[in-house]
Amino acid sequence: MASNDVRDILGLSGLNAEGSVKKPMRIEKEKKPEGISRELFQLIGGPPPVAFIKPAFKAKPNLRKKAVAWNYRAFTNPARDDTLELRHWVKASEDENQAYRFNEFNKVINIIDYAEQEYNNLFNNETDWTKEETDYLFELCRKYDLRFLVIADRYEWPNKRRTMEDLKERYYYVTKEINTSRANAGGGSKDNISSIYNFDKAREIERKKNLEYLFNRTPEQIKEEEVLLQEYERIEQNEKKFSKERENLLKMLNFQDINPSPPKRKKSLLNGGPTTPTADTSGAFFANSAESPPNKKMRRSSSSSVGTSTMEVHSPTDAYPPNAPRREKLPPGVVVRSQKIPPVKQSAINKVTKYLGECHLNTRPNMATETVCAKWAELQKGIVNMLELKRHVEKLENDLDTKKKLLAKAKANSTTQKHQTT
Amino acid sequence: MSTFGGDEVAAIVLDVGSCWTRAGYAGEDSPKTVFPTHYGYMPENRVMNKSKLGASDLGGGEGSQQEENWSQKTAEQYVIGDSEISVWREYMEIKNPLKDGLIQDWDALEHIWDYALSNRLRVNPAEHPLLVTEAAWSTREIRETLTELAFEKYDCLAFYIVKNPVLTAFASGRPTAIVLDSGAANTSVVPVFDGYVLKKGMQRSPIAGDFLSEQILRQFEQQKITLNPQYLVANKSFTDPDAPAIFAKRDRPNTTASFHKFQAMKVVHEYKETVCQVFESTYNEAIIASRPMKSFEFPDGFNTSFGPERYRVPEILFRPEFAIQPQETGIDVGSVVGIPNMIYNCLFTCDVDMRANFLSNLVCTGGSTLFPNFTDRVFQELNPMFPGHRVKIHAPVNSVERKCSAWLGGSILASLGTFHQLWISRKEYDDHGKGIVEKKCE
Repeated sequence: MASNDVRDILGLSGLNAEGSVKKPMRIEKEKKPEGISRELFQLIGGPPPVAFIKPAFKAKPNLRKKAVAWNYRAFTNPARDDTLELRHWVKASEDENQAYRFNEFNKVINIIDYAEQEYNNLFNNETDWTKEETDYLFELCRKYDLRFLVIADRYEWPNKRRTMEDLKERYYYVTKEINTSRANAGGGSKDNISSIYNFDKAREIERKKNLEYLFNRTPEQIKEEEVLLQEYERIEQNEKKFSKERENLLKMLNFQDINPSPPKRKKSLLNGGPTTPTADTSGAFFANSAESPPNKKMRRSSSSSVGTSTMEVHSPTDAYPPNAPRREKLPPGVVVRSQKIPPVKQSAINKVTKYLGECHLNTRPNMATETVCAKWAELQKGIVNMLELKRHVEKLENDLDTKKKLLAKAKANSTTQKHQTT
Repeated sequence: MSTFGGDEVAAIVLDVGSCWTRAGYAGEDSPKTVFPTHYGYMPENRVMNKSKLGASDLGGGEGSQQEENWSQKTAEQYVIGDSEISVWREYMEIKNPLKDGLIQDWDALEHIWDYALSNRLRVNPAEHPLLVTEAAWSTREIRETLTELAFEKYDCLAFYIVKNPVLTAFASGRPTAIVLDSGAANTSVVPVFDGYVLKKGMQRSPIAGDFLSEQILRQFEQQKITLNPQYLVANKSFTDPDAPAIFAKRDRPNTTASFHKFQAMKVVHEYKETVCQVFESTYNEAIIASRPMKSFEFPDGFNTSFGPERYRVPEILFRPEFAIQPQETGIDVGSVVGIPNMIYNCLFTCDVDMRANFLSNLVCTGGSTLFPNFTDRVFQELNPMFPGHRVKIHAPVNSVERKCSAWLGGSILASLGTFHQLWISRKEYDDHGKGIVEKKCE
């Protein structure tokens, strides 16, 4: 039991009282039911994913099972014209007379055949294409399964240079004419004819010309195109933003039109002058709260009522933040006053906090009395305004700078021109 | 097996290239045998002499016992096989049956086929279909003679000829590609569409492995390095870098010039494979000068380090004007263009519809593309040539695959179930004559 002693000394507790290593818990492996794919089964439960299963050795080959017999058999391929017999290994269980498996892949494109008479009737007065050359073209079409790229590559007819478009035009023209005449003669269905591809050579040439042009663009052209595309995207995005803003504005206006709220009237009475809509609502709230039923008031601290009274004492504009929280935003129950300070808008929060930090202030007032809160809100608004103005000034300065530069440039140009003229 | 569309009919694939010959069974992933296409030729009056020398390792012992219409005497004149031609023999010439990738010496080719089929694969050609490869620019006469040879002499069960670039494209798994093949004798850029070579877009230049080897020989001359191939070195001792070699020279009288050249080329090949490198972007002498040198030990024990020159020779592939003038090969360097321009020219002869497709399917193959950084460089050069297009180069990392890509493609093709309808059978040959090959093999 030396190992046990060592374990004791080292303070390991791998052995249990009997002194034998505990067998690792065998993971119960749930069997995968038939008809469910492995991936699905893993998703719906069952065993853990493969990665967590202990690696096991490959299953032993079943040596007792008899090997499958294979025969070396000769076969012929029906796709061939001759009776070439090749030999391959097949399972002995397979039927000997079975057709060659790969025969089905031997797809032949149906290319029309025409008799001499038929051809002469239809195309007797053509100058450019002889019957022999057309025959040659059709032979190539059959040989290369209408791969016109290859046909054009291999096409060699004495004293003729044909482009791929020439060949395509001829092929489709002949096919179409023959099919049409056959349909007319046999009274066959017209749908067949209408579906026949009508090759437009001029257009194809035009298309290739454009494609060629596209291929031969210089890097500068490509860059320019990219820049234009980006510009376009930007404009489109801006457009979206503008329309959204406009919509919001319209909504707001509509809202104002729909709710010509009575508090507004009261407020204007209280203020005795025109104010911004935000100031309106805030004032409305306080006017409202001042005369709201007592049960609501009682919920708030008594100091609140004191606050309202102080407000009445001060002039309305500096007494309380113009954009004080609206009534419906007040949380129920007991509230810390500093919570009532109107929040800074989301986009400016970071900047305002930073600025407050620079002034050695916290984000919330330390002593949140009514007055302090009011002043705090005012301060916040002031900061937001200031930042806004700062930004605006910067922008204007930048503009001015660029304009100045442009002007200087223009001036320089004109002077050099003058020099040149003189 | 059927899922891959394969159907093995025990076809044999034979790829006789300018430098190496590969032979093996279709369906396998590498050729059973690879040996040099170069062969040794003993002048008629020296054959007896040679047999007296006891070259029993010729390997032809068994083949010559077989009943053949091949006379014993001529069989002994030809020495084929990697180890066989490396053995020094008096008066033995080393020749190559191919010129510019085309077969010139038909007697030698027959011996090469014999050697591959009887000595290496040990098969009876009458029991197997045979697929051989050919250069994209092969002629009708060559194809017909090959067909004749296959049926008249070897009595093959069936026969087929496919062009190298097509097989390379198949080996990389794409029926449409531009195949850049830089082998020993030729560098070629061939567009392949749906398994058909587009002949009009084919570009070819003689600046390839052999040309570079010649250039390296000239470079050694300029650096006053005497090349003593292995066969001349009896023993050598260790020397300091750049110190003259200390070695005992073997006495080899009556060595032919061609044998010496062949042996020298072996050293050059080793140098090319271990020291040379392609510069990964536009050739810049200043950067290259700051790169570390690489040392190389010659068979005689002389060893030295090579700096910028190891970049200069492969650069000829990209800029032929880098070639050292004058060279003996008689190639007018001014008339050939580098690889990137070849690809450019090739693309512009192709239909505009296909160009983008071709650009993203560029396959590199051949021994001369195995220089380090070769594909990076090709990409570097091509990318600015075709702005706004995706250039994608496919090159097998495995060097065997890159050297034997045509054979590999043949192996894949000849083991496809759908391919078996294309073989030229004995009956078709009897009915139509050797001209059938032009009709059936495209």
